[in-house]
Order: sequence, then structure tokens, then C-alpha cells
Amino acid sequence: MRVQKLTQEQAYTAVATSIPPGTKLISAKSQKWDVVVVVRDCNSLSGFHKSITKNLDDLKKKGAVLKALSDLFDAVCAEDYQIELENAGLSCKVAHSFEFANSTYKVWELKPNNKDRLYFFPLKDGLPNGRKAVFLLMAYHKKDNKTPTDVCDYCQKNIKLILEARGKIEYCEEKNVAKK
Amino acid sequence: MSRKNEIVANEVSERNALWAPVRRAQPIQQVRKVMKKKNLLNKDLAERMNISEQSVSRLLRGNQNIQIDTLYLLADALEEPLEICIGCEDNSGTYKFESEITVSKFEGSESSGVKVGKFCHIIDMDQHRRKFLTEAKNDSSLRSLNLYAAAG
Repeated sequence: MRVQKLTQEQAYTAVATSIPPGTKLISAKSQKWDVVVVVRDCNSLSGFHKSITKNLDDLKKKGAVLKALSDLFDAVCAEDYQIELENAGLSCKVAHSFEFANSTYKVWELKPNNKDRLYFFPLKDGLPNGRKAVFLLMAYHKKDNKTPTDVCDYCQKNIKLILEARGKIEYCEEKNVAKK
Repeated sequence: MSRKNEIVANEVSERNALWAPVRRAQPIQQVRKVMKKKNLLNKDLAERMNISEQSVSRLLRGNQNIQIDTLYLLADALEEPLEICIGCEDNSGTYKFESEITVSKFEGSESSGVKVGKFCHIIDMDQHRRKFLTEAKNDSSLRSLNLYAAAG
């Protein structure tokens, strides 16, 4: 399995076409956790990128996801990113949990507002050089209160693929990123 | 005036809709970092700002459109400098909108920004400029140009 590490700039430009001057960006060097997406090959778009195109069709939805990304990148500079997210007032909850290989795994969601969601999965082991990563799975705008079944199924399927690939995960070559 | 007001107005409105949540969050992220560094609690900030702890908690969520006065109150309570910089002398770059950006998103430099305290982990284009200006200050051949005046 291949993963692409995203810098904050790359994550922002996945949502917005460009970043306004004056926007502060967090250096990849200070991140304790990588923010990554699963890609088929290093030049292809991830499912996360596709979900942005598919689900975020107006500026308000995109703005909410940008805010979630801003707080996430700020939080992953600390070992315990969940506490940082809590301090930032950004709600971070379990959207769905499932059993796999005798363990329970959770799909996490960031809630910048009532409807917009950023689904992710944190992984501490099975990555090269002892790295830790937050896998961005999907950006979504909910129509009702419950997390839709197809979103849960999509995230669960992707997490299972990630778990099965533990120990065999390769990073795409990092361009313009400070090496750890 | 190089561009029509209505064109700029559309882009200003679009940029505000898209980036306002991030722009509101950024100074507060800096405030939280200073608080962590100085071991300051919400309670301490509340006492220093003479407001309730709930108000501080609300401020630190980073989703409010904070008044400039409040931002200065926060900076003073943290005992940190606050720089608000629009079209500063040392910001010589041109402000660009989407339609104008062709080469690089950060071509030139920032022409505006809010900064509370100092954080080495944030990529700050001003830092590179200041480094250059500081080097220029020590370079006798460039000293006569008075470039270092803005180095601070």
C-alpha cells in the first residue's frame, strides 16, 4: 500500500484552489503525527481528494473542512493530538466502530459544525521508521444527524485495507517537505 | 487603480466565505501555544483580562470574529507583542488573488497578517525577509543602502 504524506499546504489546496497570502502554515518538521492519504500510485488522487470534489459543493462546506484541517495540523504537532483538538474546541468523536481480527477499531470524525465532517483513522504501528500517521479518509456534508451507512462502510473498508497492509506501507517520495 | 472594484469585490467575498473560519482560528492557535509555553490556564487569562472563564473558553474556540481590542487584550494578558501588518514597508510583495496567481501561491510575500508571540515552527515569509535584512546589515557593501532599517 502506498500513502502520500500531506503538508498543510497540500491539504489546503486539496480543498481550495489557492491559499491566500498571509495564511500561516505549520512546518511538516514540527508534526509528531504525519497526515496521510492512501493512494493507488503516487500520481493518482486519493479517495479523500475525490470525496472533496464529490461532497463539498459550496464555499461554506469547504470553509468548514479547511477549519478542521487547520485545527488538525495544529493538533498533530503534539503527541496527544486528541487533547489539542479538545483544547481547540473542535469536537472529535467516534463516528463508527467495528470488529476486525479480534480487536475493535474506530472511525473518528472531526466536527467543525453540525453537518460537515472530516473522517480519519490514526495509526501508531506498522508504518516505516516508527512513524505515526493520521489517515484522512473522507470529507462529507451530512444531510441528517446519523452517519450514513455508506460512509461507515467506505471508511471501514479503507481502514481494513490499512490494517492488512501494516508493515508493508510505503510512503510516496516527499517533495518540498523537510525530512524528519 | 489597476483592477475594477466589482471584480475585486467578488474575489474578496469568495475568499472571505472560504477562509474566514481558518483566519479566525489562526491567531487563537498562536494564543493557545503561548499559554501552553507559559503554563497559563484559562483561569489565569480570565483574571488577567478581567473577564469570566467562560468568555475565555469561548474566545479560545477560535470560531469568533474577535475585535481588534480583544486581540490586543489577549496579547497583553499573555505579555506578548501583537503585530498587525497590512502593507508594511518590509512587506514588499504584491497581494494576489486567485485569478492573478500563476507561478506560485507564495510568490513575493505576505502583505498582511496577525502574529501573536514568536513561533519557529510556523513558516513565516517575514522571517526570511528579516534574515536577509539582518545579513544585509552586516554586509558593508549593502549597509549604505539602509536595507536593515526594517529588520527590527
